[in-house]
Amino acid sequence: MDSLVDTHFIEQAAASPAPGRQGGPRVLVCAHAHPRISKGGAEVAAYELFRRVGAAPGHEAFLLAGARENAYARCGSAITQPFADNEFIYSVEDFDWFNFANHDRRFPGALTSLLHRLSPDIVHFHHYAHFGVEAFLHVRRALPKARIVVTLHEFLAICNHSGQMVKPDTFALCRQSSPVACSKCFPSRDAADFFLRKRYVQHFFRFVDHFISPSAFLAERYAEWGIPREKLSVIENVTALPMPRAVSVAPPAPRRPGTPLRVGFFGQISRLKGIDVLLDAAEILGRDEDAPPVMIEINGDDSSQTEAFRTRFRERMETAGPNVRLNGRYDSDQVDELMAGVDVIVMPSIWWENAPVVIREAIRNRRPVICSDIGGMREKVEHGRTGLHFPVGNAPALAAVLADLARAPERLVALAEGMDAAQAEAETPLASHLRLYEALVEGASL
Amino acid sequence: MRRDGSGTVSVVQPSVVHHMLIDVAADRPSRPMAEVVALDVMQGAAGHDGGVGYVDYFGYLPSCQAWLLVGWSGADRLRRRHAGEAVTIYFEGGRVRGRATCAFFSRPDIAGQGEGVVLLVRSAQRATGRLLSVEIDGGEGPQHFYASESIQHLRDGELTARTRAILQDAWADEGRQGIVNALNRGAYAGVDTVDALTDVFLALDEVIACPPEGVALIGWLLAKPGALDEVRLVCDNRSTPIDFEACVRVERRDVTDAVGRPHGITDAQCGFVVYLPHSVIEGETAYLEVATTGGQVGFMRLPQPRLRGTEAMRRMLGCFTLRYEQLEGAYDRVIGPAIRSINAERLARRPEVRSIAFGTEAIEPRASVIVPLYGRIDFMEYQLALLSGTGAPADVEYIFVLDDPGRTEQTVALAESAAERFGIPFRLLLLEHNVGYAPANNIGLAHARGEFVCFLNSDVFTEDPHWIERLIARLEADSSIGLIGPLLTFEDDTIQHDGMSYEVKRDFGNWLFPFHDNKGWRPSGLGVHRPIAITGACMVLRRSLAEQLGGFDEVYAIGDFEDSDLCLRARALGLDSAVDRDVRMYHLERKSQEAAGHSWRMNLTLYNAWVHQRRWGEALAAAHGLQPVGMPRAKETV
Repeated sequence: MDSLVDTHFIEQAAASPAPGRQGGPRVLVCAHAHPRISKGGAEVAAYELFRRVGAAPGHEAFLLAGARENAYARCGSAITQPFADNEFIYSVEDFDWFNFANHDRRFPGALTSLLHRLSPDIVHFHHYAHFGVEAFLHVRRALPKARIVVTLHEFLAICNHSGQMVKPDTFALCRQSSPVACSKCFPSRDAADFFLRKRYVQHFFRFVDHFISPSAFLAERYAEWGIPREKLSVIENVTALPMPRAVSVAPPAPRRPGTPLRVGFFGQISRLKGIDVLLDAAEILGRDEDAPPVMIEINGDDSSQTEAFRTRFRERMETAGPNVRLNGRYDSDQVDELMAGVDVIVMPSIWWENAPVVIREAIRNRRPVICSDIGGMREKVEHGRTGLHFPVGNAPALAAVLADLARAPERLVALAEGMDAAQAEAETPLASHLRLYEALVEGASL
Repeated sequence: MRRDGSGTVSVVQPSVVHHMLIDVAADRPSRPMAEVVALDVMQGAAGHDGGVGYVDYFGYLPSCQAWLLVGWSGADRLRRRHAGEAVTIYFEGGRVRGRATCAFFSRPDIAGQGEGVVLLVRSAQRATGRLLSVEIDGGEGPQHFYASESIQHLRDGELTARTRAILQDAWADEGRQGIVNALNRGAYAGVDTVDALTDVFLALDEVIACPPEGVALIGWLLAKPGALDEVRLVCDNRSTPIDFEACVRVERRDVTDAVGRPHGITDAQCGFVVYLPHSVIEGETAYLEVATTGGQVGFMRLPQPRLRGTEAMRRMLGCFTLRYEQLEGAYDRVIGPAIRSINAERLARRPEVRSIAFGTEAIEPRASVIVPLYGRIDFMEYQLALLSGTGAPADVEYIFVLDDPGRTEQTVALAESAAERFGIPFRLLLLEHNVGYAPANNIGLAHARGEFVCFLNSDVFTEDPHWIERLIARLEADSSIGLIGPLLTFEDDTIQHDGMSYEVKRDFGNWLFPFHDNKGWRPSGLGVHRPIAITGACMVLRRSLAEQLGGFDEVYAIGDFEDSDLCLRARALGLDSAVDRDVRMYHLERKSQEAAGHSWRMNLTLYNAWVHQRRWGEALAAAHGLQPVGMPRAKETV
């Protein structure tokens, strides 16, 4: 099915005013940053949500984004409007990343004034960094009838290691947080501190009406951690999609014998993204004289990594065999072209991942994904239907999967068709958001 | 003033003695026995059967802390006496006891009737009034000396000059040498000479003032066997002997190795802490006088005390480790009174208090919650955050007492932010200097306006905004309850506090220590539970009772045991302590406080335990059958 038509149909349907109601809800989207200032995944997703909800018939949307640079601060005003009518910027002052507390004494009053001026029906927080979890209480106090929605990003509330749930020293996967376990990862804080951190965050989470998790895996972890299941929905982030390519992209063609399988890595070049696993697999394939030819292309950037990592990565690339090529950083508008040039996408992350954008880009480009068998990757890539799993961190297993695929490239076509089918079945994230808003405003049980 | 063993006041104001001595002193020749007017035999003088003597002149030698008496004796039995016998000197205003050294000399004027006697009686005691008689104990019965009619009371220069002349002709024996040595002791001339001693080595590491007139000395002392005669602290006209047997001994192997071994002295316990009450007068020069049995005397000026308050306590408490039976005497004689004095002086200066209100306060609050803040300021943020919500604030005034002046700026900033974020009104009291747990709470109490007060630790948390109303309701429902607190749990919901009982700690002098019942266990049971006492981490009581009891007793230093003390004082008024198990709150008791790394902190706890033990030990043991482990149990009565 043509997903363009499908999307519009669902969006139109969801946006239609309910009988007896004038127009859709007024939505204030709050994001920790503005994509004009920093272009992280979360801020882009929040901005797209704001933009597309605002474009939906009958809806009105506003954006409140944080800014750590005080370039947009005006003396005496914590919140300013430098970019556009419906876009507000909060100049962040004193934020505590440990318990997501915003110590800025100007903020509660400034937010309250903004809320009274905009009087939104829905206040949707993407991320609570920079605003602080207390913001939920401010909204509840200022507008008791407004519904509060929070989109969860990573395991931030659960894990102090940037929400990764990976041990900071060994990079071992962490399956469950606890005050004692967390204080072992961060010895400068004791178990009581982690207990208080959780209490603090959960105290303010109580004022939230609904949580959105981009993956079922993440939602399950948060449910175990303490968010009531009835308050959790799984909806993917709204992303800035260029024109859907489903009709224009050719499926990967079966290779002629002797032509290498082209494997693409996309994303941050970092330890957590499994770059070492990938290079190890390349080494194994390179050493094995019986292995079919495989060419691995690395697209990405290591500029935000530690110097030690970058040095080690450079060394590895210098000694890597001819089956590895480093293409370097790319912009989001180059992704489709780069993916068209490979047969399969590899995602060897050694952390859980959540709802990786790379997988959605791969689906759009009909490129099957070979990924670690954990977390959001396991969920978003169906083994045998839209891609293949291998045991996390296991380079020989990855090498074997790549070799098998290179020997039987016809499987790629079947996997690409599986991707098309899966995409057609899914409701678009925007439609799901609008439906959720509507239900919350109507007070319907979810 | 000091009482001697018999209960007689034997020392009065030195200045008074001084004037009386001048009045009595007269220059009249001594008379032979026949002319002596018999005096009433005073109390203690038991007849004449042990022999009789007369005193011609006498006086006190401050430089050797002794009375010197010169006269004659009709009995030659005295000659057989050895030095060191007990002597009692009777004055009109009381008596003086000491040990004697004797020397004898010829008295041609009474040839055949007796011999001249010089008596040196070591005693720091002074006395008032006329000398009446002297009694020397001996194996063959006491011997008595009486004041001759022309008895003279001489002072320093004349006393020593006349006696030196007499001693030149005295019979050469140990007694004469001892008295000559004593007379040769020079007075302190402002020059430290202690380093010149060859047999005794002494140094002071720290001098700590224990106001009003006491001093504690930390140092070390090494002496060749039998070489040390005595060490005294002299200040103005006070002279205080130092009893090294009664001091706190400290192992100082460093000193033994560096100083002792070259002289063959191997005593590793050569460090000491001594406490000398009523020994110094502020502003007056004080010095140590070290006398050896070989007749040497060395002086050392007492350095000015460097440390005060908490620093002084930390210094003293950080230099020794005592266990088991060592504690009792050390704390009774040295550590206890010294720390009490330092702490009392520290608290005598009350801090200036700034009071800042955040948010709109209740006009007539039902309850005042007093929370001292120290170190972890962020606990205030958590406490208020977890109580925040959309309802109207409870009818409670929260009073945070910042007992950590170094964090004032940080705390005020956090308070500003917390007030905006959480919408709970509170008051912040800023103390100009750190005072400790009990005084900080008492300062909060002085600012409290509620009918009820709650003493709350900053690391106690709840998300129930009505917690205190529930505790108050329980308190009001039963007039036999004086203090009530919630069941406190750790972060894993196991018991932190469900009431306190006491246990006897063998390694800590068999003193009683409050013990949290079932700590770390899962709670069971609901309703009101009545332990002997409850923790001060969260206790609710009527403000009237808190004021009647005067808040926490500040004799407990820094923070320990005062909660137990408060409960026991309420109990003495007939009021129980209770835990309301239906109200649960978290108490994130920190492990750092239990860490044994700081010996001074441990010893401070022992100081507080000592205060508590001396006040409540017997009564608690009697009421609750508490006995040291391993001691025979009292016979059980049916």
